[in-house]
Amino acid sequence: MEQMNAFIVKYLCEEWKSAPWPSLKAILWLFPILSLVGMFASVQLIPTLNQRLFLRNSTHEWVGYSDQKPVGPDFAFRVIGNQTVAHVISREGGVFFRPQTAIELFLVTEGEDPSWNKGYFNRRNVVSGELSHLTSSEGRVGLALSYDAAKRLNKGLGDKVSLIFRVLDDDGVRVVDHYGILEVILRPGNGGGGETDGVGVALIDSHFMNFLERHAISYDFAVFGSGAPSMSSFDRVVHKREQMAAATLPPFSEQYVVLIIALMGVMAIFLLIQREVAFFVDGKTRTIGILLALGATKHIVYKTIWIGQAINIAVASLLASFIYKHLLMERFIGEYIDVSVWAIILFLYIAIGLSSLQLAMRKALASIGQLQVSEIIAKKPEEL
Amino acid sequence: MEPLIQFNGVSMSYRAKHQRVDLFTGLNLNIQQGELAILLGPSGSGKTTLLNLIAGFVKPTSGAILVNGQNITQYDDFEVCRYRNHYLGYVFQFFNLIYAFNAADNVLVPLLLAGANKSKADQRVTELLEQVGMTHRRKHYPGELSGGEQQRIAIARALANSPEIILADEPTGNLDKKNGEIVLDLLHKINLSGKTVILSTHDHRLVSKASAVYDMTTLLNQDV
Repeated sequence: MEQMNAFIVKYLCEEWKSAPWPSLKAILWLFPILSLVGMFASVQLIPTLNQRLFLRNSTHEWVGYSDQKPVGPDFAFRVIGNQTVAHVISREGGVFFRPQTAIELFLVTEGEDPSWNKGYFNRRNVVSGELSHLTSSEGRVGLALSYDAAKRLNKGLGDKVSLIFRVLDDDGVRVVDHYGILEVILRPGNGGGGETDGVGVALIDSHFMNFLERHAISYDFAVFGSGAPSMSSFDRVVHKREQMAAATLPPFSEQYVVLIIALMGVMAIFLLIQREVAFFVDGKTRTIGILLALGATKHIVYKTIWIGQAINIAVASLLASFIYKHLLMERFIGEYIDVSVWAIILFLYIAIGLSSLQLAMRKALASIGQLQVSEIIAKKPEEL
Repeated sequence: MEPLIQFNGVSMSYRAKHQRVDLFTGLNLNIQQGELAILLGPSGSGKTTLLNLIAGFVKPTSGAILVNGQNITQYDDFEVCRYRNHYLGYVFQFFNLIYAFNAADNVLVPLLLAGANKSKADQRVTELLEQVGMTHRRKHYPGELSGGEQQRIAIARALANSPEIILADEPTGNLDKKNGEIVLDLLHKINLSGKTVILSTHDHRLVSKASAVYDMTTLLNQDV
């Protein structure tokens, strides 16, 4: 076994040194497909996993939210009007409450000149949105910095960002700007004292509260609690942990499209790996013939090909999982990917890749079995 | 003394365009240990097939091939690989070096396949490269070597596991006269060191030094 491994390691290292392009090509093909498959396959799964993580890590008895937008009690945690409403940061056990999508306010980095919009590079530090998007059907406004916005501004949990709240008139002409400071994410706290024990709001700038009141803009906030029996006096629906825990995946009828796309992706991965293995065996006919002539068993040849391809799959899976974690999911779905979820996704990628490889290798083994060593070694190298 | 290699009534046929072609019928042949046996004959006379039968690359249609008293035609896949790796060294007409490996690593391959200890294997590679006069080219890849140099590396590779039998199929067929002489000289020296060398060739330069010369035309027309 040891000697076999010494040969395989030697062979794979020398192959990589002399001709890295075939492996690189295989990886470059594979990892975007894996990323897409993961994205589509887990589009409904990740929010549920996140919620489970939140419930496991949070000490709060209940979490409240607006009573208008949620689709239903068992789905409300995740969706308001088909938009993500909560990001769970499991290490803090906090919920990021988003009444609407465009919570991304007019933000600039702290201390920056308000003339930010004049330069391209400054614009890169700005996330903007429209006030109208912030207003719910009840005329309430939720304030928090979205995860995406925080990420784009390179801000972490608890960091502060400066805010420009710009009010335009009907003709789109600027009426007034307000500068404020916002925390990146909500945290539980003693926001109101007394009856509002446990209420936390994102806004920490009291001047901004005054600004909202002056312009008759009502605001919304997420509430956390562990002691009060009910939060109904705050015109909110409160759901117990048990109710939130009951959130399940939506029925199959709602997700068959993404599942079909994911299955097509898995098929594509299988065909891609099968093609790679077939190309490899075809392109290495001469080398395989020489190795067999020198006394290599078919098992060694098989294992060498398998390990070479498995390394490609592992590298592609790793790249795909990073893409999945940092780009695709958050861009399209806006969910926070926990490290454990990422690890599961990586494991699934490798499992899909290796299962496909296993199937592809059965065919490869059959073609290796059909090779005629005597014919291969008698041919000029250019004839193969 | 019992011959090292025995062909007992070996027949070999193949199908070409739905027709059966008989290459050998009931061939009997004995090769003694330490012989320098030369197979002479025109192209297509069956020299390579005879070597391939000894190497276990092909199986005869009928009959037995005994090597050291063992019938190699009855070996399973694993046994035949072990036999090739431990008891045989094969020198090919087209050298058949692995392009991704340098000269030293090409010689190392049979040793790794045989499970040799890495440091001992490296030492053996150095010895063999010295033996074939290729030490200065150990880090060169096949594409950077001349035909004669490639064939010398192939000979070193064939000797890697100190096999009892060296098979050489037209080893000078792809070389110029000078390199051909170097290669034949090496094979002769290998034979003088006690190895059994079986050589198929058109080249008559080694005939005078051979212990046995087999003319394929005569051999294949022998009475059963």
